[in-house]
Amino acid sequence: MLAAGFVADETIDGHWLSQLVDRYAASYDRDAMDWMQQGAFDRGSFASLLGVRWSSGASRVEVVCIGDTLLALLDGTDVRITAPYTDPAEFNARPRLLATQSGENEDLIQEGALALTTYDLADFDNPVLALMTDALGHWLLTFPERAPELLAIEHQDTFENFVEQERSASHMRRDDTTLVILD
Amino acid sequence: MFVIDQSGSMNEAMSIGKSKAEFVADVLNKTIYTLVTNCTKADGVRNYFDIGLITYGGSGVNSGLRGEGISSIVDLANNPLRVEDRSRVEDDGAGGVFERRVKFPVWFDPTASGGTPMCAGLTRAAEAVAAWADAHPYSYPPTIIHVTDGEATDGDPEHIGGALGQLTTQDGSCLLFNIHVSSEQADSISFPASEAGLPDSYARMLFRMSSAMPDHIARLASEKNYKLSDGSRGFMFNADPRGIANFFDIGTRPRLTADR
Repeated sequence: MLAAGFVADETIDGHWLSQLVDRYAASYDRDAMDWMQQGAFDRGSFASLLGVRWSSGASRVEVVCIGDTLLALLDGTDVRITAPYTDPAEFNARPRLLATQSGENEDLIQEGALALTTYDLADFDNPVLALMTDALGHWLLTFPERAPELLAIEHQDTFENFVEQERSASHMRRDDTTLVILD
Repeated sequence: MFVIDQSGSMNEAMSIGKSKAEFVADVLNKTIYTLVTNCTKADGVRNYFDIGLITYGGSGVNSGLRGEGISSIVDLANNPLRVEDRSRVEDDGAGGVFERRVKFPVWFDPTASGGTPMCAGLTRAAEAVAAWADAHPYSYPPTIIHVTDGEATDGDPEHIGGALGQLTTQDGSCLLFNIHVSSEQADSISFPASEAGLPDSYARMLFRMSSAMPDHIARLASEKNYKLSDGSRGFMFNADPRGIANFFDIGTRPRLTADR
């Protein structure tokens, strides 16, 4: 629902998020839930969002990075910009996450976390965008010089072997490892 | 692991009108409810925790929320004693409040009678925790939350508390947190770092029996505006209803959820 909303809607702000929260709530019948489902529903669910879309200019992208996720902009294999974090230790802090309960989103909205950041890829000779979840993001910020290894992976099997190898060497956390490379 | 005093004095009323036994039962049920819902994902309840209960009082020592010393959270989730319809006042997000119907499961009913066989209760807890730690050597070490309102009537429990704190898994030592609940309007003492300032030898003994708070738990206590210092221990004395609820919340969050 978040991803579809990011793609479909021009403006990403508190009102946008509030509408998604309402749509989410309307899609469930709370009174019909058993106590476990109702308790989990009342507690709310939490999500990261890493969105990239083309901006009006041909070489510009708009980005939103919320939660324990990482966007890396590389020039070739050289890591030039990372967001929302620049230091692996930042993954140790409690992440700001999007919530299905409106009250949980207030601080995030107030802090401007939904604001889109624009990057001009014309500033890069060979722009590459790497989008990844927390375990990979922590790894890349710890070993930025090893970015070429990540970018060289072309098949799922190779990727799985790479993750297992890094986990076994205690270089990578046993956590989510999703990777999207746009080049 | 929860260890609950069910001696006769737990029948005394607190400032909110409920007895200590009733309030502790409410908080315990709410705590289990929160733990279950935190483990509930789209595909059902995930087996992230085991939960144990030992009670001691006039009927001696009893084990388990379902007659077993320690149960999986999935087992508990599927087997409450009953589910009550309750209402809860909530913020409406527009400056007002509204009443919301909530299905509330009950696993534990209050009861209180007789003396305070604390030594026997803590011994039973130590046996159960030791067996669990042997069977789960790589797990987060058990946390024992001991709720009492009076002195032991069956001996000195300090050495048993010390033994509990020495049980380990490969992830660390077990934690024993003690909370003394009170129906009096006396000042409560929360998470002290030394015996100085504690009112009597009983309070000092409970302090010595209590584990130092690991960083992730100390951080949770700080977020609830408790003043902590180096060496603060998981101990409250003369806890009021708010303190009891906070103590359970702080003591039952494992490292993963505390960090996220």
